[in-house]
Amino acid sequence: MMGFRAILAIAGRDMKSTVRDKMALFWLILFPLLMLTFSYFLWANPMPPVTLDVGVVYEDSTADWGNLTFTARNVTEIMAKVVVETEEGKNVTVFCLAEYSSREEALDALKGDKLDAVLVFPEGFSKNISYGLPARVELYIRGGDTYREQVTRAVLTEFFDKLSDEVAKRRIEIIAEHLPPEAPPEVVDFMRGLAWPVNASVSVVTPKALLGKAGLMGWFTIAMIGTEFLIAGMIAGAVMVVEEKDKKTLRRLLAAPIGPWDLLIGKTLSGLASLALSAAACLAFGLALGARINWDPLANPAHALVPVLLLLGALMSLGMGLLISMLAKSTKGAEGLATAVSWPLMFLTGIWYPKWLLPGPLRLLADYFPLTMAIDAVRSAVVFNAGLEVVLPVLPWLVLATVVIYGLGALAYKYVLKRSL
Amino acid sequence: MAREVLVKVHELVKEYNGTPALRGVSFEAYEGEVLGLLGPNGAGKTTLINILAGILLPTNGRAEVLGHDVVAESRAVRALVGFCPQETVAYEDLSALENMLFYAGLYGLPRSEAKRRARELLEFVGLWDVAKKRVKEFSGGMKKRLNLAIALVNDPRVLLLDEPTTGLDPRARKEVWRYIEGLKAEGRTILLATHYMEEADRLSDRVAIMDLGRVVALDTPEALKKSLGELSVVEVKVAEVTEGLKAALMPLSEGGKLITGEDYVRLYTRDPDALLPEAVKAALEAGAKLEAIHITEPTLEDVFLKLTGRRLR
Repeated sequence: MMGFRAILAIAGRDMKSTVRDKMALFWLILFPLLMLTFSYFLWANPMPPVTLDVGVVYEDSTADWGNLTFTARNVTEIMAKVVVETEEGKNVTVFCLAEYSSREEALDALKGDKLDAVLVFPEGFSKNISYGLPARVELYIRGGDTYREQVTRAVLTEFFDKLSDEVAKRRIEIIAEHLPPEAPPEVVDFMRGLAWPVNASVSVVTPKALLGKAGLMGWFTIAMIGTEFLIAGMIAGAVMVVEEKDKKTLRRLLAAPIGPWDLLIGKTLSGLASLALSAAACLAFGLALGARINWDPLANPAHALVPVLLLLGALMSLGMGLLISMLAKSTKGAEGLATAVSWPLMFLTGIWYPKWLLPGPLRLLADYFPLTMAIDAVRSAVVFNAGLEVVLPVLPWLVLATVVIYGLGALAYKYVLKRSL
Repeated sequence: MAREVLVKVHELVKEYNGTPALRGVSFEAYEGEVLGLLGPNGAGKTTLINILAGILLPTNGRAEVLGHDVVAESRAVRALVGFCPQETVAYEDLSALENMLFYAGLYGLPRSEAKRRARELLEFVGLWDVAKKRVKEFSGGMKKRLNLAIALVNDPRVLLLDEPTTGLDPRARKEVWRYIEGLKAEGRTILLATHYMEEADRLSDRVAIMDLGRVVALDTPEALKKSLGELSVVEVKVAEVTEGLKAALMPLSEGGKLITGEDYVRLYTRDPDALLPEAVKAALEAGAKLEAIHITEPTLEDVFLKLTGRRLR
């Protein structure tokens, strides 16, 4: 009972000091909220539809013949009407067209970075397409930005593929209308085979949880909790002993009838409470910004394991901090060292920076970094609504990693304690 | 009736990486007495107090507090003794009351008892009116008084005070002395480590003079002073003590030993009447501006000088 009271006293004292320390509150609460706000405005936006600036050059004099069924101008009329619907239900025009009198003028505009592409209808296009002959268009795409070039190429070729399909369909329909009644139906199929030797059907499927801003914010909210665990947790572990030494209270604490483990447990509890406070602030703020965080342990038992995963993650961070404390002899030194270690890890381990954007070797590190495993499991459960099949396989590893890291941290703590007296 | 021995130290040795800090210290402290541990920095006082407080392990020897071995029953010892280190142990971002409740928690006191005890002790050290003020707003003297209150939170029979007035101005120091005298009046056994000779003289029933990790003398202040024997102390007051003055007076003092301050030189002699005119003559010849010369009572510092050949500070 006495040990329990002492542990609570240590944890309570630490927490009081934390909530009265403006810098500590900044790092625990304000910093993650700021990061979440930036994330909300900068990154938590689904990629908007692309609008391409296309210069059009009509070198085709047959477009003005007047008796053709389909002309170059009909093509651009269709292009001008192509729209894509956004998540919010807004129609965005895909092609913004501008007519140029000559190819040279249009290409100058392309080189001057005013256009994404130039579309040239060469002589005879309208006649050829109307008479059922191959009709050629010429496309010039702005280079220099691989991503933009790929998008422009894909959007334009998709449009002309679709247009080509429609024209082919219409031509086959017209031919079919003029076939003698005794002609076998396979003739039409044969013509279709000529027009579309390979028929690929494309469907777009978006992951349910990542659909839109809410999913992305959910991802960032859990990422921020993980980041706080990494930074604040490691700092809390690193300063555990040296802070008391610097305040000159360590000797007095150890003159009380408490054991070294009582002090460690009390300090660990206060560290966990600080991280819980930070996580609660992140969750509340993330939810206020519209983050999708699912929490229904009755419907999804994996959700019940989320607090366990977070606890393991927090203990691992504190353990890593305790290990770092072996190398520091003052509070400032310990804080600096823990910060120097935790900040790069925040980006390199896939906790804050998405794992799939990391280069190969770092992705391997991220895959096996225990805190990332814990945070990924939490993200899978509460953002992607994954079930036990995702959480249970990693749980034994996380328990083992926590025991090893916190255990080694406890040994480091004993060493630092002895050194500090 | 024999008094109960509450602290027993026998041949205590402590080494830090082979460097001795205590070299076989032995003494006993009785119930209700103030035992002063007087010595300069590096004498081993703090090491001794830390061992008795259960913070440090001795390299050799044995110590018991209230019948408990400080090594084998360390936790029991720590629960029973009060420990007041020289540093401020109160957390600056907490109030005096919060500090008291925190330390009471470390000793396992239930909340209600902790509150009662905190109030009682803060009243005792005159800090109840500022109990809810954060410690960072306290003066040095107030912090030392709070240190004392914290040391008493477990109502100890044995109190270990390590330099409790270091860094205080004379007025604040005297204020802390009054509280220590109050504790003495309550019958607590106090081990008072200090390098202030006046502090040890005024507060201690007995004084253990320590030097280089050893107790070189242990007795009442009066007995220690009497141990100077036939030696008398002559104090020469001057405007300023110069090296020339010291050189001129040194041959006149017994054994060539002197104690000097900013404006005085203390000499030792078996024949003070003969020394007085010689000292005046030597001082004037050394160019000193003589202000007074008189025969004074010996102090513990004189005793220390006699025993170790060195000054206390």
